[in-house]
Amino acid sequence: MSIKPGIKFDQGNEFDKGDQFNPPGKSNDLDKFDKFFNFTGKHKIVLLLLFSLLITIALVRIAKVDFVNDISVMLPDSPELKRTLHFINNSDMSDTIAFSITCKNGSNKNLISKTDAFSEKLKKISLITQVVTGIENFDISKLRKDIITLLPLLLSKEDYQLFKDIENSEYLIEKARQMFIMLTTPGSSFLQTSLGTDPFGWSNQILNNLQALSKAMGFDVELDNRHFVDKTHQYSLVIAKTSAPVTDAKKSQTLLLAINDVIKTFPDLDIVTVCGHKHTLSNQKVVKKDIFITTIIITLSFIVLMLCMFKTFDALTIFILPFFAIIISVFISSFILNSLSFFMIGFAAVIAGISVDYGIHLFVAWKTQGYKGLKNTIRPVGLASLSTMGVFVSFFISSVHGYKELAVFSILSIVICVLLSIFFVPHFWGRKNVIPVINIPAELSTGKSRLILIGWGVIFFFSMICLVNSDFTKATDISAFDGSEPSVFDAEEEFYSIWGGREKPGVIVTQGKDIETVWQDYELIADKLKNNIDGFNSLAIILPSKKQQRENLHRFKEFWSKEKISMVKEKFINATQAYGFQKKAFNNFFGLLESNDLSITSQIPEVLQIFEKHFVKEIESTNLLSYFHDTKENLTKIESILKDFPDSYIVSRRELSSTIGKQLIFDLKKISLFALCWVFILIMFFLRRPMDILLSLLPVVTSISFVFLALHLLSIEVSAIILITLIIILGLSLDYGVFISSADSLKNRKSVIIAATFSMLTSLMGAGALLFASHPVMFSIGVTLVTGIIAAYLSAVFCIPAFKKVLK
Amino acid sequence: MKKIKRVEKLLTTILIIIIIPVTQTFGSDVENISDDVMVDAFLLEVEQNMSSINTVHAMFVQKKEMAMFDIPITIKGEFYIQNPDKFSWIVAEPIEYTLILTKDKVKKWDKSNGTQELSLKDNPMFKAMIEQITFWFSGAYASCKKDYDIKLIQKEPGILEFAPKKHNPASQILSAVTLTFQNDKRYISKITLLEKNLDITELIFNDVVINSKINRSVWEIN
Repeated sequence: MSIKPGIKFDQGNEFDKGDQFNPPGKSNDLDKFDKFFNFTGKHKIVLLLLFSLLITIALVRIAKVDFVNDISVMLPDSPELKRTLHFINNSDMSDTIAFSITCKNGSNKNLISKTDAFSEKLKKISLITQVVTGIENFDISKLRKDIITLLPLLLSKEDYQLFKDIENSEYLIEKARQMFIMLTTPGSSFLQTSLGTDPFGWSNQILNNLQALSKAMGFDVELDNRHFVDKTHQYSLVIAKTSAPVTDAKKSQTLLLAINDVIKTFPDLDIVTVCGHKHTLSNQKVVKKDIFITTIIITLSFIVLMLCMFKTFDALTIFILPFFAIIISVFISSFILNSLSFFMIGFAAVIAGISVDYGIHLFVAWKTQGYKGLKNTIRPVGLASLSTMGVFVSFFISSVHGYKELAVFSILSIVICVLLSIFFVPHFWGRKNVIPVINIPAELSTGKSRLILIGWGVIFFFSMICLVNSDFTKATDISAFDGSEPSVFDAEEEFYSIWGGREKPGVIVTQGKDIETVWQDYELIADKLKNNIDGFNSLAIILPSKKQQRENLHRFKEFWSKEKISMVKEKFINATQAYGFQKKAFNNFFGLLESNDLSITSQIPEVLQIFEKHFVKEIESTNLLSYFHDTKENLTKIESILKDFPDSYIVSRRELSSTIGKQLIFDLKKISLFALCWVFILIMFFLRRPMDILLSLLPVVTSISFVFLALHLLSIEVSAIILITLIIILGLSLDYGVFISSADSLKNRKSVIIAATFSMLTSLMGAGALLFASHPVMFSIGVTLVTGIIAAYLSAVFCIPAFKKVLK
Repeated sequence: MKKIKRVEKLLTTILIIIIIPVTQTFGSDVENISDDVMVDAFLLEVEQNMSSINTVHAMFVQKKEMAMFDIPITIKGEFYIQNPDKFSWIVAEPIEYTLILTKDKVKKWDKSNGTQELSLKDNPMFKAMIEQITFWFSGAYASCKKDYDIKLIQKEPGILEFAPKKHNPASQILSAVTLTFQNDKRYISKITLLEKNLDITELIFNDVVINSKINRSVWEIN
């Protein structure tokens, strides 16, 4: 293909410029369009001033609009998903900031004191609500004593195995011997109190469960001087809570700036910060940078295209028009839509590339055939814009707010661009008809046609293999929307390598109006799952509901009758006295057995309240949390059990992906069906002949399959955003197919090919600019569109004529 | 002249009235400062001496006077230490049992239960206990100054008293730990633990052999 600029498009079109560039003079001959065109021509200066005013107002408004970078706009709008996201946004998952601290010189001598100094400074940040560096006043002897006091409430029927040998004298003698050994071991001072209250170690089982609970609470920590440290004791851990919502970019920025200021005051410490807020800001930064770069690239490309191909400055209007259209559509969208997202603006370059096509067609027509040509081109331009808008209209039936937003924005942009290209801009176009000729053969020999079709067939074959083998299961992975800078992921990788916690557990949320009511379901779920799934953790494993506690207490009292207590006491005292123990050494223990003072007060006793934060969340209602390893097998089991618990639901990465997946696939089916119907109606309306209909679909089939080949070659995983971009390609590629397959003469095909080439180039500029984007979503849109447009164009321009020749 | 002498006498009296309390006030501070300096110097010397120790083998006698027991309990045996993380406690009388600590594992042996192996990571209580033992044998006492008030009770042979500060959880059980050092300050000859409930544990070391080669079998239970 070669483009020869500066040559008249149609040498035979010589005309009187005075008639050619104006509507008919006599009022009788004027139709409504002519009258309106005349009106806009007469008032073009006033309209230009009004237009400038509108653009200024729009720009002022846009400057004040808060663009959101909330991932949820790209997710389907379902109650389940809303509930999950609401929980995530209001739980530890989003309000926690973790700091991994180490000394730069490699010595951990002052690590703890510096960690304390750092946490003190963090506490002064207004957006930080809590700072934790370790466990304060953790006294294991007291914990054991408290647990043994609660045993009558905590021990279930199965736990009574503990008492099976309690009346056996040999067992009691052996216990006395073990206690003697324990108490004579160095460092055993603090065991004395514990042994006095729990000589048989009955609290061990509960303590082991507590330990399992604390292990599941996130990071792999050890304690050094009551501070969280890693196993090498070279790193300390600080956990902070913030009131800044993770989706609030402004507050996230304020928070991170304040944190960085604190970090700067500790130049000898290496501090790695990990939090969701970093992702929010980084994504915003990347998207803003991408929008800036793509806008510059597309502007420069349009100017180069204008100067090289049209060599006239009035063509500038058709290239600048889409940008004005975008400004006005963002302005209008800001009144229609509740929020505007950066993802939508990221699509601006693509929309500019699509909508400039209409201006080019009208400009070429004006330059070659004047007003008449312009008027004649309005119909095909209208139909072409309708076919593209039809695809965007189909987005309205989607449940994804972001797609609807994109549809509003795109349709407004296209409508504004088309209307301005028809009624307003032509009044500023000159009358010099300098249009380039593009040397693309409209007719191919049979040999060349066969060669082209063989080449197309081979590539199509491999493309179909890639399409069939594509992994659509990852299309719903929400991490694909995260385009944070590598530094954010590197910091997280460093953090997880020290502290673990890379694999986030899944959470079962059990809701209810108050803790006592919810605990019954919480307990039943724990009973059903604790031995059936991996990594299950729930406070209910240790702590039964109040109702169950009452039953446990009753059973305990029944078992430990006065007679039994005095019999065991006598035997045990005899056994211990042989080792020198005092008669009264175990009075506390037997006192607890005999006690009738134990009563059930709050659902979570004081001793277990350190776990409350991790297992109980008050978000509008009471939410009790159980944790599990987020695996497919576990999810399947949990889902089947939760069917009986309507107030419980799962929050996990895998579950989120699955819910989003189901919704998105359902959405895609609806959108595709609508778009396909739209496409068929259009081609049936335009083409009618079966052969033309089939050939017009060739670019559609080719472009979609070729996209999968490109994705495979570039090792890009299929994402939901790619699938939705394919629907846009459907609309764009159909235009090529319809126009070229419907060209009934060689001359017509030539002019259609030139229009299609301009259309392809401008669309490619818009989409190609996205290839320079850093954000994975925008980049993958760019790859999909560029591959799709090129494949659609080449198959339309070369394969359709080749098929026509071979099948003749 | 008489007048001058009277004035001199008055001035001397005033000076005595002013100076005596002042010197007394500053004097006590100076004493405290010099005590601190002496403790620090002693700790430094002990730390330096004990840092050169790689292995220790000693016989021990442990006397315990505990509220739980009617009579003082005496146990006898031997112990081995190999820095940084090996400790063996072999009791011969009145009950035979062995406790071996290696890095993150504890092996226990006694006649009726045989050998039991525990992971320190999974047994925080045992870990805390072991940390107590190894700390007093480590010699690195300067690091605990923020958790203990340290007093130098005697210089020759050196006796140090460690009283846990209020914020230290050990203060809930312990009143003081007293360490008596060998004359050359190379090692501890006696540890005394005084607990809040007035229990006393006295651990006396005899036949202390420093930096001798310890047989590998010591760390294994056969």
